[in-house]
Amino acid sequence: MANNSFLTSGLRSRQVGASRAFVWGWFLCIVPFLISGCHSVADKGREEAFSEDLLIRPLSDGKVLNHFYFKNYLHTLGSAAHNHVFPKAISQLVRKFHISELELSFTQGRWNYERWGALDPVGSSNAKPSGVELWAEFDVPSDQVDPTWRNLTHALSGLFCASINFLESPAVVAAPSLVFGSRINKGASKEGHTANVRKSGVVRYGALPREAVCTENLTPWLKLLPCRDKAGIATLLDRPSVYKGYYHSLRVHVGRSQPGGAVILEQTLTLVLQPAQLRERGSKELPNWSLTSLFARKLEGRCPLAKSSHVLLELERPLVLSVERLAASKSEPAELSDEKSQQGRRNDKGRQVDVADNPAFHMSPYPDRVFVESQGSGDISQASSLMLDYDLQNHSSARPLNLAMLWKERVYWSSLRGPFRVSRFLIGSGNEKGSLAIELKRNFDLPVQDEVVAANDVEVTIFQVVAWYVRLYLHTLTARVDGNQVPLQNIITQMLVTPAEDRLSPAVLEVKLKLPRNVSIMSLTMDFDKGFLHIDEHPPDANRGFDLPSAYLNFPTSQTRRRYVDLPSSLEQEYPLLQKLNEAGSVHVYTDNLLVPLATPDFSMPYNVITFTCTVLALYFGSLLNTLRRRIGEEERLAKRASGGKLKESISRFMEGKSATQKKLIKVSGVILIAGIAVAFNYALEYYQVL
Amino acid sequence: MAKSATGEERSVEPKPRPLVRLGRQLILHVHIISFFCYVAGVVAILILPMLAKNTYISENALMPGSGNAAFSNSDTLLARSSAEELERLVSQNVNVQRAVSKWLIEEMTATGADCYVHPFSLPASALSSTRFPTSSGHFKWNTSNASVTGGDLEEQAPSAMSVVGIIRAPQAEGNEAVVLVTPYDPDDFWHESALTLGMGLALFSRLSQALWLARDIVWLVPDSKYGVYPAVANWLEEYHHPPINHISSHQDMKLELLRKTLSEDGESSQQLIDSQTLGDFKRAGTIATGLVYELKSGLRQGGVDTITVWAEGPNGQMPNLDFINVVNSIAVYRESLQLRLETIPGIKSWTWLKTVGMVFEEINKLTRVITPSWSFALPAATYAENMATLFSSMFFQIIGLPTGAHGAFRDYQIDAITLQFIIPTQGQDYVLAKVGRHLEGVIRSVNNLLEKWHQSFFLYFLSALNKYISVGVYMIPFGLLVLSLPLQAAALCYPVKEAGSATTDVSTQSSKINSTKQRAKKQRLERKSGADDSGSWLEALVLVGAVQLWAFFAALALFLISGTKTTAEFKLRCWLGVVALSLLVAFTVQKFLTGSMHYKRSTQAHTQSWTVVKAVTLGITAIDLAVMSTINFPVSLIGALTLVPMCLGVFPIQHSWRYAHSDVKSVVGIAASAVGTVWTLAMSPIGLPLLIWSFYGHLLDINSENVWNFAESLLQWRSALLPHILVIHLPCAVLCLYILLSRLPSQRQ
Repeated sequence: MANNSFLTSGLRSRQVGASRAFVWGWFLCIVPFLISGCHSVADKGREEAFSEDLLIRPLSDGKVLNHFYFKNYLHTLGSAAHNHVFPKAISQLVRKFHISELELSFTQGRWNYERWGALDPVGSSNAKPSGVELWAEFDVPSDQVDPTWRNLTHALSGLFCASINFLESPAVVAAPSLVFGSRINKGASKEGHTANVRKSGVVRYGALPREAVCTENLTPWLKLLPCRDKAGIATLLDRPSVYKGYYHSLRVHVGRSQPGGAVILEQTLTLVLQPAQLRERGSKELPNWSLTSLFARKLEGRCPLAKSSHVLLELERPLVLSVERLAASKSEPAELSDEKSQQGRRNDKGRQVDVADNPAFHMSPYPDRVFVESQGSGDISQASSLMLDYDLQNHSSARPLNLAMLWKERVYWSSLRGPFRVSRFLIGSGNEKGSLAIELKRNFDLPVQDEVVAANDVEVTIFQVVAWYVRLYLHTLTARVDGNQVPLQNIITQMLVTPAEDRLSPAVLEVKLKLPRNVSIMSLTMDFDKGFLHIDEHPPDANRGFDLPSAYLNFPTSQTRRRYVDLPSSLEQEYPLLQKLNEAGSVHVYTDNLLVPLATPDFSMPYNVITFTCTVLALYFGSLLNTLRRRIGEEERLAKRASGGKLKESISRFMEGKSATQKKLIKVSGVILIAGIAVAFNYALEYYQVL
Repeated sequence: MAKSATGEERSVEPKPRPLVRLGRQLILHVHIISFFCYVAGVVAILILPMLAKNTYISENALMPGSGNAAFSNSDTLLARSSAEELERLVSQNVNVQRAVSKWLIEEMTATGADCYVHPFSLPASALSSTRFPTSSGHFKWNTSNASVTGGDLEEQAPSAMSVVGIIRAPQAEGNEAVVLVTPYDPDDFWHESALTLGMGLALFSRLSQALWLARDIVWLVPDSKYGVYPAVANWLEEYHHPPINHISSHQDMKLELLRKTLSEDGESSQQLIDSQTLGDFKRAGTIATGLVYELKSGLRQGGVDTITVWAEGPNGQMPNLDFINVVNSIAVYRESLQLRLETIPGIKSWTWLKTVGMVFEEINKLTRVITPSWSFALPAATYAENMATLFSSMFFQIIGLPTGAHGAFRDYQIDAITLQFIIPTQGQDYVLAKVGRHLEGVIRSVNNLLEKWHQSFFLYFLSALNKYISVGVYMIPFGLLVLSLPLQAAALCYPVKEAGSATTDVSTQSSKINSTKQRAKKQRLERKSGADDSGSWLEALVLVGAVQLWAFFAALALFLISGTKTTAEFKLRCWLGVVALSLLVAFTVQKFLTGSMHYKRSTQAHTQSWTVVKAVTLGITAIDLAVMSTINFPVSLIGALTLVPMCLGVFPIQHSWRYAHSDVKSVVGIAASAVGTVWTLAMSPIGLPLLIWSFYGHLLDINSENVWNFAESLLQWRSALLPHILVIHLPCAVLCLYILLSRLPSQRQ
């Protein structure tokens, strides 16, 4: 019943203009009918469809990854103003700005590629740079792109309560050609590195590294969902728990199935939370968690408007392997030390460990379904990752889902890391110059199974936007492979450079590299000078330094794909998230933001200048007035008539005839007298004050 | 002034312009004025502690002590238990460095931090810091292993290894970092080191749970086998300027080796994971602040727990005053810990300082009788203490060697200080908790800071931890001291007239000439024709130039000779020989040049050539001191104190002799020239070392080797003291000696 009342309120908001009392009465009569009607719309899946999923994954350092995935499908973007489920705000945006693809993300914290993995689909495509990142591809003539982008930033700024409008300034916006945008991603895997530069100038990219992310961004994001956070999976989003997390990335992705085709809106929220009891160091507590411990909420059923609603728990490949090994050691402890027998057992694919209750952990409740990842190659030395499925259709407020994972023993494993560890840093100190370095270090623990990576050269695309006040010297671009400098043409297959223009556009660097397979360390360095800003160009916290947005790297690999054997094609529609995981992709890696200290003026300087100027003016006018008003002849006449006052005259008369020593004596005694009078006066003053 | 005014009163002529009159008066009374300036300068230095203002926190964002400290008793327990565990480990293992590193890596990883090792080799010079005369144990002369040079380093396996842990601030972007440093020496590991590391770990784990972090926390545990400073400097160097081939396979091999030594026995797989990246040099963005701290066991002083603060960086650079204020305010107001600045022992007990303090106190009593609200003086004991702190602070800045590892940060414009906590043997837990809370409070406050340190002073002296003397105040005594030099120089080159007949001279002159302009012109003409200055000017310039060039050469020679690989004693002898020889050459060249000039021009008597030389010397010394004051203020102050009396008081001995036997002598004049002569001799290149030796010979181990090494270390730390001695003091002293010994033309001429 709670759902129903909510739904009425939800729908009520759509009927603007009708009289309230009438609407109330009307609704009360037809609520049951309406619900079934909505269901029928969702079930058809032709016009509009909404689905919600939550992917949970225990991470190797005891934290828990929660990936909320909401997908909204609108078949035709007609001129008709009415949508049932699809948010009108987005459809209007798409229509007005002719968007073919758009991605907006708000992120707080950093994705830990080493511990949380980079090769899995969630980690690879949902890890975003901190702050706001926005890129959009437009379906307009190239001369229209910039105004459209400007308008879009303002529209989004209002929609998401963020300072996205700062991205309208062309000095921070880039027009990438090799990365971002639908056509590139799809073309790359097929055509290889051949010239797949898209029609230039239809994509714009901008990032605000310093933008703070908070509930004011989450609330408008939730408003795009048909059930907001009143029903379904989004009810879990308890604000304090969400913002206590170690990583928080809010993302909106709008795409078209084909140019002018259906609009697909994907909203994701990626959270890394720490189970409460782990906070204290040295506690021997196991990283147990449940939905209530993470979110302080339970799942009380689905969003009634959702076509499908699932909670999926992923056990990644290395974890499954560790658990299997642990289970084996439990049953046959004697064989643990024996390397060969262990190998042999691992090859024994028939052995299955109970996913919900095994020597390592206990899951409650038992999953509705378990999907096993299908390995691409025949090599079965690796275990397969598992996906435990909980259908929210089976849960309601009377029977809430409180998914819990209770460990029996601490299991150690390492997430699947990307092919390279990437770090970007500044070289040098001082306010004059420096170098920008990107360093790639090979992770040699890649699974052997990936022949594509192991046998061939590795392709990397690096995209970097550098603000104009960091003046790059492109000729100093140096590549080093394993410590030795190599000619650029040996490893760079394609390079697109847009030089910066002061106050107008940033420097954009897009480099496509091909690295030999046995490379362990590769570094790119480039020198720069630090520019000077006008005094009014400094932000209020100028002494903090200036942020350089993250660099973006892209390694095409098939490894981020997850296909599940037990997933029949008929069921694929039911699991949009699994469908998503199955998409071919690449490893996306963002480096950390950088902070460049620039020479900042002393901001009290204007004050000093004003003071000095005023002094000079005062002196000038003073002397001018003096010159104008003075009558020298008159003064001289006066001076002649009476050279000094009467007092002076009398003194000089008194002095006449006295010897030099006498004069001195008189003077000294005069000074002493005056000083004495002053002291006496002062003393008297004090005395009277005391009185 | 009044006198001359009345003197002019009688003449009906219009007065000369006031500026000219003022200059004339200044030059007329230059001796008295310069004497008073000097005395006033000295007095101004002595009253600096009374002019000190109370410190205040300038940057609002710091909010010291606003957050409650989460450092609890359990953390104290952790600190103590870790210290005990470490001590046990160290006693069990032969290889202390390995045991400690392994323990550190394990513990850091357990807190969830990124961890790596930073192997490094013996630095090119094994000079450790630095608290030079205060605790001589700290000061390692670079005698041993000094022959290792950069070329050998490449081949040498890294022999020292620092361990670094980084807490990635959970909700921040990670482009700023705060560095905590807890040094330990594997060759000298005992209870204090264990306690320091234990406290480091407790604090680190506490911070790793903090959600308020806006900056990454880097915990650097430098292997201070060769001293703390080189270890920290090495790490910072690699952080900011990674060597171009730092990623060579050779390095990788070394790391592999290290990894093996670290993980020789079975470990949990969690550590294996991290061991793969253990060799990566990880970074955490721009370093905002550095904090070095160590725990020492000791006795409570006067029933309070104390923290000693060291702040002086290379060449006397100080961290932002706000940093010290934060440390001070949290310690005093929240944890009731007593802070003190390190002072040179002995200064406090100087009797003259106490006497001066008492004199000021007496004067103050007098003034209070006149006006009760006039109270400026400090109690004599406080005065002596503040003065001792001030002198020590000045001394450290003069020496120019950093007083600890925080100096390494200063080279990268990072503000850092060293804190040393005294932990008593009784009630250890209580004090440890205080220390932990204090450190957490400081880090939290630093974390609050939005920008880098810029709000408060960088140029200041501390006379106590809550009393500072800003640049605006301490420049006054320097100005007073130096002012007399240009005045005296002007008096020498515009010899208005002899002091006795000045008044009448001026009056007659002024009566003769009608307008001021004309008179100035006349004067100029007079000077040109009469004194025949141009010749002696040229001579003086050649002489001073030659001596200055010689001084530069001496400095250069020091630099060149320090690069050679011989014993210090030989180097010193070599340098002295070169310097003496070059001085001879300089004088020969000068004689030759002036001789040729003599030949050319008419041999008119260069009557008072020494005055011109003195004028030029005074001028150049004044300029030198002014320039030096911007480089290192205390050095220029001490320079002014020593050089000004010498420059002012120096007269040729013959001149003094004649003056003493002339009719117009006065006691003051004789005393002045006597003081000048003695002072010049004392400050001369021979007199000064003798003086130092006779006073401090029993305190410091002065021999030729140490002297040379000290000079070399000054050179290495880029201390301003060395250029001051060689380029300012030395030529000035030589020129003054020249003036002292110069011959006057016989009186008959």
